[in-house]
Amino acid sequence: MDTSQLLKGVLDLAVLAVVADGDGYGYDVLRRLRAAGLEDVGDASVYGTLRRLYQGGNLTSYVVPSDEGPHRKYYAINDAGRALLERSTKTWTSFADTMNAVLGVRGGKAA
Amino acid sequence: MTTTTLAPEATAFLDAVAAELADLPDDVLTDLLDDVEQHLAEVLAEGTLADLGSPAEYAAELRAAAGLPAREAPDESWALVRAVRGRHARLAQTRTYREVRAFLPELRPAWWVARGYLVVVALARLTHDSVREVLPIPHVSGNVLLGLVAVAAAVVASVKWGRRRRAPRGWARTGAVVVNAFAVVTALVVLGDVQDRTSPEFYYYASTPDGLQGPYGPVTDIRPYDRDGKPLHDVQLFDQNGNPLVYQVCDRFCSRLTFPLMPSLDELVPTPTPSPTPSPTTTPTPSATP
Repeated sequence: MDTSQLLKGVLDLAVLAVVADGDGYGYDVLRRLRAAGLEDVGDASVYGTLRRLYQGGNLTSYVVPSDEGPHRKYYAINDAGRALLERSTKTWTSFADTMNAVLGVRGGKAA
Repeated sequence: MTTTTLAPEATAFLDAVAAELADLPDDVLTDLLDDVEQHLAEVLAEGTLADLGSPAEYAAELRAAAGLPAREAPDESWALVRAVRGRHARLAQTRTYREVRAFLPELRPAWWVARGYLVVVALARLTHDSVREVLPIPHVSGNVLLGLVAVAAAVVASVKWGRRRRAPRGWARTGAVVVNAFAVVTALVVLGDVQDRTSPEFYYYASTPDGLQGPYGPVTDIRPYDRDGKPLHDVQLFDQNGNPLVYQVCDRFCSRLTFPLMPSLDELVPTPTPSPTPSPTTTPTPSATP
Protein backbone atom coordinates (compact mmCIF):
# COMPACT_ATOMS: atom_id res chain seq x y z
CA MET A 1 0.00 0.00 0.00
CA ASP A 2 1.46 3.35 -0.91
CA THR A 3 1.78 6.07 1.63
CA SER A 4 -0.70 8.36 -0.06
CA GLN A 5 -3.50 6.09 1.06
CA LEU A 6 -2.32 6.14 4.62
CA LEU A 7 -1.75 9.83 4.45
CA LYS A 8 -5.31 10.65 3.58
CA GLY A 9 -6.47 9.58 6.99
CA VAL A 10 -3.93 11.53 8.94
CA LEU A 11 -3.32 14.61 6.85
CA ASP A 12 -5.39 16.70 9.23
CA LEU A 13 -3.15 15.68 12.06
CA ALA A 14 0.01 16.35 10.12
CA VAL A 15 -1.17 19.78 9.00
CA LEU A 16 -2.27 20.73 12.51
CA ALA A 17 1.09 19.68 13.84
CA VAL A 18 2.99 21.72 11.29
CA VAL A 19 0.90 24.83 11.89
CA ALA A 20 1.15 24.37 15.64
CA ASP A 21 4.87 24.44 15.14
CA GLY A 22 4.63 27.84 13.51
CA ASP A 23 2.17 29.90 11.48
CA GLY A 24 2.45 29.34 7.78
CA TYR A 25 0.88 30.03 4.44
CA GLY A 26 -0.25 27.22 2.16
CA TYR A 27 2.90 26.60 0.23
CA ASP A 28 5.01 26.97 3.34
CA VAL A 29 3.03 24.27 5.16
CA LEU A 30 3.33 22.05 2.11
CA ARG A 31 7.07 22.51 2.01
CA ARG A 32 7.46 21.73 5.67
CA LEU A 33 5.42 18.57 5.36
CA ARG A 34 7.57 17.43 2.49
CA ALA A 35 10.75 18.34 4.30
CA ALA A 36 9.62 16.25 7.24
CA GLY A 37 9.48 13.24 4.95
CA LEU A 38 5.92 13.21 3.65
CA GLU A 39 6.89 13.47 0.02
CA ASP A 40 3.72 12.01 -1.38
CA VAL A 41 1.42 14.63 0.01
CA GLY A 42 -0.54 16.29 -2.81
CA ASP A 43 -0.47 20.07 -3.15
CA ALA A 44 -4.18 20.48 -3.49
CA SER A 45 -4.76 18.16 -0.55
CA VAL A 46 -2.80 20.40 1.77
CA TYR A 47 -4.61 23.52 0.62
CA GLY A 48 -7.95 21.80 0.90
CA THR A 49 -7.14 20.49 4.35
CA LEU A 50 -6.05 23.93 5.55
CA ARG A 51 -9.31 25.36 4.32
CA ARG A 52 -11.37 22.63 5.93
CA LEU A 53 -9.63 23.00 9.26
CA TYR A 54 -10.16 26.75 9.06
CA GLN A 55 -13.84 26.28 8.25
CA GLY A 56 -14.12 23.87 11.15
CA GLY A 57 -12.81 26.51 13.51
CA ASN A 58 -9.52 24.80 14.27
CA LEU A 59 -7.33 27.31 12.50
CA THR A 60 -7.39 31.05 12.20
CA SER A 61 -6.08 32.99 9.26
CA TYR A 62 -4.68 36.40 8.62
CA VAL A 63 -3.31 38.15 5.58
CA VAL A 64 0.18 39.53 5.46
CA PRO A 65 0.48 42.25 2.85
CA SER A 66 3.56 42.03 0.73
CA ASP A 67 5.20 44.67 -1.40
CA GLU A 68 6.93 42.48 -3.91
CA GLY A 69 4.40 39.73 -4.35
CA PRO A 70 0.83 38.81 -3.71
CA HIS A 71 -0.57 39.11 -0.21
CA ARG A 72 -0.14 35.87 1.65
CA LYS A 73 -2.82 34.20 3.69
CA TYR A 74 -1.25 32.77 6.83
CA TYR A 75 -2.83 30.11 8.99
CA ALA A 76 -2.40 29.84 12.72
CA ILE A 77 -3.64 27.33 15.24
CA ASN A 78 -6.10 28.31 17.93
CA ASP A 79 -7.23 26.68 21.15
CA ALA A 80 -9.79 24.49 19.47
CA GLY A 81 -7.13 23.41 17.02
CA ARG A 82 -4.69 22.63 19.76
CA ALA A 83 -7.30 20.54 21.54
CA LEU A 84 -8.03 18.68 18.34
CA LEU A 85 -4.32 18.17 17.77
CA GLU A 86 -3.95 16.64 21.21
CA ARG A 87 -6.93 14.32 20.81
CA SER A 88 -5.85 13.26 17.35
CA THR A 89 -2.30 12.64 18.51
CA LYS A 90 -3.57 10.33 21.23
CA THR A 91 -5.76 8.52 18.75
CA TRP A 92 -2.89 8.16 16.36
CA THR A 93 -0.46 6.93 18.93
CA SER A 94 -2.82 4.35 20.27
CA PHE A 95 -3.73 3.24 16.76
CA ALA A 96 -0.08 2.96 15.78
CA ASP A 97 0.64 0.96 18.91
CA THR A 98 -2.24 -1.36 18.17
CA MET A 99 -1.12 -1.83 14.59
CA ASN A 100 2.39 -2.49 15.72
CA ALA A 101 1.09 -5.08 18.13
CA VAL A 102 -0.99 -6.72 15.45
CA LEU A 103 1.94 -6.82 13.09
CA GLY A 104 4.19 -8.10 15.85
CA VAL A 105 1.74 -10.98 16.53
CA ARG A 106 1.83 -12.05 12.87
CA GLY A 107 5.51 -12.68 13.27
CA GLY A 108 5.23 -15.58 15.66
CA LYS A 109 2.45 -16.53 18.02
CA ALA A 110 -0.75 -18.26 17.24
CA ALA A 111 -3.89 -16.04 17.21
CA MET B 1 -4.99 40.57 -5.39
CA THR B 2 -4.64 41.22 -9.09
CA THR B 3 -4.36 38.52 -11.64
CA THR B 4 -1.98 40.36 -13.89
CA THR B 5 1.13 39.00 -12.28
CA LEU B 6 0.30 35.42 -13.16
CA ALA B 7 2.07 33.73 -16.04
CA PRO B 8 -0.13 32.66 -18.94
CA GLU B 9 0.22 28.94 -18.32
CA ALA B 10 -0.81 29.46 -14.75
CA THR B 11 -3.77 31.54 -15.86
CA ALA B 12 -4.86 28.75 -18.15
CA PHE B 13 -4.52 26.25 -15.34
CA LEU B 14 -6.44 28.50 -13.01
CA ASP B 15 -9.22 29.00 -15.51
CA ALA B 16 -9.52 25.26 -15.99
CA VAL B 17 -9.69 24.69 -12.25
CA ALA B 18 -12.28 27.44 -11.99
CA ALA B 19 -14.40 25.76 -14.62
CA GLU B 20 -14.22 22.48 -12.73
CA LEU B 21 -15.33 24.16 -9.54
CA ALA B 22 -17.93 26.37 -11.13
CA ASP B 23 -20.82 24.61 -9.44
CA LEU B 24 -19.76 25.96 -6.08
CA PRO B 25 -21.23 29.13 -4.61
CA ASP B 26 -19.51 32.33 -5.66
CA ASP B 27 -17.90 33.25 -2.37
CA VAL B 28 -16.48 29.79 -1.80
CA LEU B 29 -15.23 29.73 -5.35
CA THR B 30 -13.50 33.08 -5.10
CA ASP B 31 -11.81 32.03 -1.87
CA LEU B 32 -10.57 28.79 -3.33
CA LEU B 33 -9.34 30.45 -6.48
CA ASP B 34 -7.44 33.01 -4.46
CA ASP B 35 -5.59 30.19 -2.75
CA VAL B 36 -5.00 28.33 -5.98
CA GLU B 37 -3.62 31.43 -7.62
CA GLN B 38 -1.16 31.94 -4.79
CA HIS B 39 -0.16 28.32 -4.96
CA LEU B 40 0.41 28.43 -8.69
CA ALA B 41 2.54 31.51 -8.36
CA GLU B 42 4.71 29.81 -5.75
CA VAL B 43 5.03 26.61 -7.74
CA LEU B 44 6.03 28.54 -10.82
CA ALA B 45 8.59 30.49 -8.83
CA GLU B 46 10.37 27.26 -8.02
CA GLY B 47 9.71 25.09 -11.02
CA THR B 48 6.98 24.11 -13.40
CA LEU B 49 3.32 23.27 -13.12
CA ALA B 50 3.93 19.82 -14.50
CA ASP B 51 3.94 18.13 -11.13
CA LEU B 52 0.53 19.41 -10.26
CA GLY B 53 -1.22 17.03 -12.58
CA SER B 54 -4.16 18.09 -14.68
CA PRO B 55 -6.43 20.92 -13.60
CA ALA B 56 -9.24 18.45 -13.26
CA GLU B 57 -7.24 16.27 -10.91
CA TYR B 58 -6.13 19.28 -8.95
CA ALA B 59 -9.67 20.53 -8.65
CA ALA B 60 -10.94 17.12 -7.56
CA GLU B 61 -8.21 16.77 -4.95
CA LEU B 62 -8.84 20.25 -3.63
CA ARG B 63 -12.54 19.65 -3.50
CA ALA B 64 -12.13 16.39 -1.60
CA ALA B 65 -9.59 17.73 0.86
CA ALA B 66 -11.65 20.84 1.51
CA GLY B 67 -14.67 18.73 2.33
CA LEU B 68 -16.79 20.18 -0.45
CA PRO B 69 -19.49 18.11 -2.09
CA ALA B 70 -18.41 16.19 -5.14
CA ARG B 71 -19.43 17.65 -8.42
CA GLU B 72 -22.49 16.21 -10.09
CA ALA B 73 -21.69 14.30 -13.25
CA PRO B 74 -20.60 16.93 -15.69
CA ASP B 75 -23.31 17.49 -18.21
CA GLU B 76 -21.72 18.55 -21.45
CA SER B 77 -24.55 20.87 -22.28
CA TRP B 78 -23.63 22.91 -19.24
CA ALA B 79 -19.96 23.05 -20.13
CA LEU B 80 -20.32 26.54 -21.51
CA VAL B 81 -22.19 27.72 -18.44
CA ARG B 82 -19.52 26.32 -16.19
CA ALA B 83 -16.76 27.90 -18.19
CA VAL B 84 -18.53 31.22 -18.04
CA ARG B 85 -19.07 30.94 -14.30
CA GLY B 86 -15.44 30.02 -13.85
CA ARG B 87 -14.39 33.05 -15.87
CA HIS B 88 -16.71 35.23 -13.89
CA ALA B 89 -15.29 33.96 -10.62
CA ARG B 90 -11.80 34.81 -11.81
CA LEU B 91 -12.94 38.23 -12.92
CA ALA B 92 -14.52 38.77 -9.54
CA GLN B 93 -11.11 38.52 -7.96
CA THR B 94 -9.79 41.57 -9.72
CA ARG B 95 -9.54 44.84 -7.92
CA THR B 96 -11.53 46.75 -10.50
CA TYR B 97 -14.46 44.41 -10.14
CA ARG B 98 -14.34 44.67 -6.38
CA GLU B 99 -14.19 48.44 -6.49
CA VAL B 100 -17.12 48.64 -8.87
CA ARG B 101 -19.14 46.27 -6.76
CA ALA B 102 -18.36 48.30 -3.67
CA PHE B 103 -19.50 51.45 -5.41
CA LEU B 104 -22.78 50.16 -6.83
CA PRO B 105 -24.77 50.46 -3.60
CA GLU B 106 -24.22 54.21 -3.79
CA LEU B 107 -26.30 54.31 -6.96
CA ARG B 108 -29.31 52.76 -5.34
CA PRO B 109 -31.06 56.02 -4.39
CA ALA B 110 -30.86 57.10 -8.04
CA TRP B 111 -32.56 53.87 -8.97
CA TRP B 112 -35.33 54.49 -6.45
CA VAL B 113 -36.12 57.84 -8.04
CA ALA B 114 -35.96 56.39 -11.55
CA ARG B 115 -38.17 53.52 -10.53
CA GLY B 116 -40.94 55.76 -9.27
CA TYR B 117 -40.86 57.86 -12.40
CA LEU B 118 -40.83 54.84 -14.68
CA VAL B 119 -43.84 53.25 -13.05
CA VAL B 120 -45.94 56.32 -13.81
CA VAL B 121 -44.49 56.44 -17.31
CA ALA B 122 -45.51 52.83 -17.81
CA LEU B 123 -49.06 53.55 -16.72
CA ALA B 124 -49.20 56.58 -18.98
CA ARG B 125 -47.95 54.57 -21.90
CA LEU B 126 -50.65 52.00 -21.45
CA THR B 127 -53.38 54.60 -21.47
CA HIS B 128 -52.08 57.16 -23.92
CA ASP B 129 -51.12 56.77 -27.51
CA SER B 130 -49.09 59.84 -28.19
CA VAL B 131 -45.48 59.94 -27.08
CA ARG B 132 -45.95 63.53 -26.07
CA GLU B 133 -48.24 62.36 -23.34
CA VAL B 134 -45.80 59.83 -21.99
CA LEU B 135 -42.44 61.57 -22.05
CA PRO B 136 -40.91 63.59 -20.56
CA ILE B 137 -43.81 64.07 -18.19
CA PRO B 138 -46.39 61.31 -18.14
CA HIS B 139 -49.95 62.51 -18.33
CA VAL B 140 -52.68 61.10 -16.18
CA SER B 141 -56.06 61.14 -17.89
CA GLY B 142 -54.58 63.52 -20.40
CA ASN B 143 -53.65 66.00 -17.70
CA VAL B 144 -50.03 67.03 -17.26
CA LEU B 145 -50.45 68.46 -13.78
CA LEU B 146 -52.00 65.27 -12.53
CA GLY B 147 -49.06 63.50 -14.13
CA LEU B 148 -46.56 65.63 -12.23
CA VAL B 149 -48.34 64.93 -9.00
CA ALA B 150 -48.39 61.23 -9.76
CA VAL B 151 -44.69 61.18 -10.55
CA ALA B 152 -43.85 63.04 -7.34
CA ALA B 153 -45.97 60.68 -5.29
CA ALA B 154 -44.48 57.62 -6.96
CA VAL B 155 -40.93 58.83 -6.45
CA VAL B 156 -41.56 59.54 -2.79
CA ALA B 157 -43.14 56.13 -2.33
CA SER B 158 -40.32 54.41 -4.15
CA VAL B 159 -37.63 56.15 -2.12
CA LYS B 160 -39.39 55.43 1.14
CA TRP B 161 -39.70 51.84 0.16
CA GLY B 162 -36.06 51.65 -0.83
CA ARG B 163 -34.92 53.14 2.41
CA ARG B 164 -36.53 50.57 4.62
CA ARG B 165 -34.01 49.06 6.98
CA ARG B 166 -35.02 45.47 6.77
CA ALA B 167 -34.55 43.73 3.48
CA PRO B 168 -37.87 42.40 2.27
CA ARG B 169 -38.51 38.71 2.55
CA GLY B 170 -40.88 36.29 0.98
CA TRP B 171 -43.65 37.81 -1.09
CA ALA B 172 -42.46 41.34 -0.39
CA ARG B 173 -39.14 40.46 -1.94
CA THR B 174 -40.82 38.88 -4.96
CA GLY B 175 -42.93 41.98 -5.30
CA ALA B 176 -39.84 44.18 -5.20
CA VAL B 177 -38.16 42.14 -7.90
CA VAL B 178 -41.28 42.31 -10.07
CA VAL B 179 -41.60 46.08 -9.73
CA ASN B 180 -37.93 46.60 -10.50
CA ALA B 181 -38.09 44.35 -13.53
CA PHE B 182 -41.25 46.11 -14.68
CA ALA B 183 -39.56 49.48 -14.40
CA VAL B 184 -36.56 48.32 -16.40
CA VAL B 185 -38.75 46.83 -19.12
CA THR B 186 -40.75 50.05 -19.24
CA ALA B 187 -37.60 52.06 -19.70
CA LEU B 188 -36.54 49.92 -22.62
CA VAL B 189 -39.96 49.90 -24.24
CA VAL B 190 -40.48 53.63 -23.94
CA LEU B 191 -37.04 54.40 -25.29
CA GLY B 192 -37.81 52.13 -28.20
CA ASP B 193 -41.06 54.02 -28.75
CA VAL B 194 -39.32 57.36 -28.86
CA GLN B 195 -36.86 55.96 -31.34
CA ASP B 196 -39.69 54.77 -33.57
CA ARG B 197 -41.83 57.82 -33.43
CA THR B 198 -39.23 60.40 -34.22
CA SER B 199 -39.25 59.13 -37.74
CA PRO B 200 -42.63 59.37 -39.40
CA GLU B 201 -44.49 56.12 -39.69
CA PHE B 202 -45.61 56.81 -43.15
CA TYR B 203 -45.29 59.65 -45.52
CA TYR B 204 -46.72 60.68 -48.79
CA TYR B 205 -44.85 62.39 -51.39
CA ALA B 206 -45.80 62.94 -54.96
CA SER B 207 -43.09 62.90 -57.44
CA THR B 208 -42.86 62.17 -61.05
CA PRO B 209 -39.63 61.30 -62.74
CA ASP B 210 -39.32 64.89 -63.78
CA GLY B 211 -40.99 66.37 -60.68
CA LEU B 212 -44.13 68.09 -61.86
CA GLN B 213 -44.75 71.26 -59.98
CA GLY B 214 -47.84 73.33 -60.19
CA PRO B 215 -48.13 76.96 -59.12
CA TYR B 216 -49.25 75.97 -55.64
CA GLY B 217 -47.12 72.95 -55.02
CA PRO B 218 -46.41 69.56 -56.49
CA VAL B 219 -48.88 68.25 -58.98
CA THR B 220 -50.72 65.37 -57.48
CA ASP B 221 -53.28 64.65 -60.14
CA ILE B 222 -53.97 65.53 -63.73
CA ARG B 223 -57.49 65.65 -65.09
CA PRO B 224 -57.69 65.68 -68.83
CA TYR B 225 -60.69 67.21 -70.59
CA ASP B 226 -61.47 67.69 -74.21
CA ARG B 227 -61.94 71.10 -75.75
CA ASP B 228 -65.63 71.07 -74.89
CA GLY B 229 -64.92 70.54 -71.25
CA LYS B 230 -65.94 66.93 -71.21
CA PRO B 231 -63.74 64.76 -69.02
CA LEU B 232 -61.58 62.29 -70.83
CA HIS B 233 -61.17 58.76 -69.56
CA ASP B 234 -58.57 56.07 -70.07
CA VAL B 235 -56.10 58.59 -71.26
CA GLN B 236 -52.42 58.00 -71.46
CA LEU B 237 -50.17 60.94 -70.92
CA PHE B 238 -46.57 61.16 -72.00
CA ASP B 239 -43.85 63.64 -71.44
CA GLN B 240 -41.56 65.09 -74.10
CA ASN B 241 -39.32 62.04 -73.92
CA GLY B 242 -42.13 59.65 -74.46
CA ASN B 243 -42.12 58.50 -70.82
CA PRO B 244 -45.54 58.00 -69.26
CA LEU B 245 -46.41 60.51 -66.59
CA VAL B 246 -46.64 58.67 -63.30
CA TYR B 247 -47.64 59.49 -59.82
CA GLN B 248 -45.78 57.86 -56.96
CA VAL B 249 -47.48 57.02 -53.72
CA CYS B 250 -45.42 55.73 -50.84
CA ASP B 251 -46.91 54.01 -47.83
CA ARG B 252 -44.17 51.71 -46.55
CA PHE B 253 -43.54 50.88 -50.15
CA CYS B 254 -44.02 52.93 -53.23
CA SER B 255 -46.45 52.25 -56.03
CA ARG B 256 -46.65 54.10 -59.27
CA LEU B 257 -49.92 55.14 -60.75
CA THR B 258 -50.65 56.76 -64.04
CA PHE B 259 -52.67 59.90 -64.41
CA PRO B 260 -55.51 60.48 -64.09
CA LEU B 261 -55.68 58.88 -60.72
CA MET B 262 -59.29 59.05 -59.84
CA PRO B 263 -61.37 59.09 -62.95
CA SER B 264 -64.58 58.56 -61.05
CA LEU B 265 -64.14 61.86 -59.28
CA ASP B 266 -64.42 63.61 -62.57
CA GLU B 267 -68.14 63.04 -62.43
CA LEU B 268 -68.28 64.87 -59.14
CA VAL B 269 -66.10 67.72 -60.18
CA PRO B 270 -68.21 70.37 -61.87
CA THR B 271 -67.36 70.75 -65.47
CA PRO B 272 -65.41 73.90 -65.98
CA THR B 273 -66.98 76.69 -67.97
CA PRO B 274 -66.47 75.91 -71.60
CA SER B 275 -64.61 78.54 -73.58
CA PRO B 276 -67.20 80.84 -74.96
CA THR B 277 -68.16 79.90 -78.51
CA PRO B 278 -70.54 82.14 -80.25
CA SER B 279 -73.90 80.48 -80.58
CA PRO B 280 -76.30 81.91 -83.08
CA THR B 281 -79.25 81.35 -80.79
CA THR B 282 -77.94 83.06 -77.80
CA THR B 283 -76.28 86.07 -79.12
CA PRO B 284 -78.39 88.86 -77.90
CA THR B 285 -79.59 90.90 -80.77
CA PRO B 286 -79.03 94.46 -80.21
CA SER B 287 -82.36 96.01 -79.99
CA ALA B 288 -82.68 99.04 -81.95
CA THR B 289 -84.22 101.86 -80.31
CA PRO B 290 -86.65 103.26 -82.66
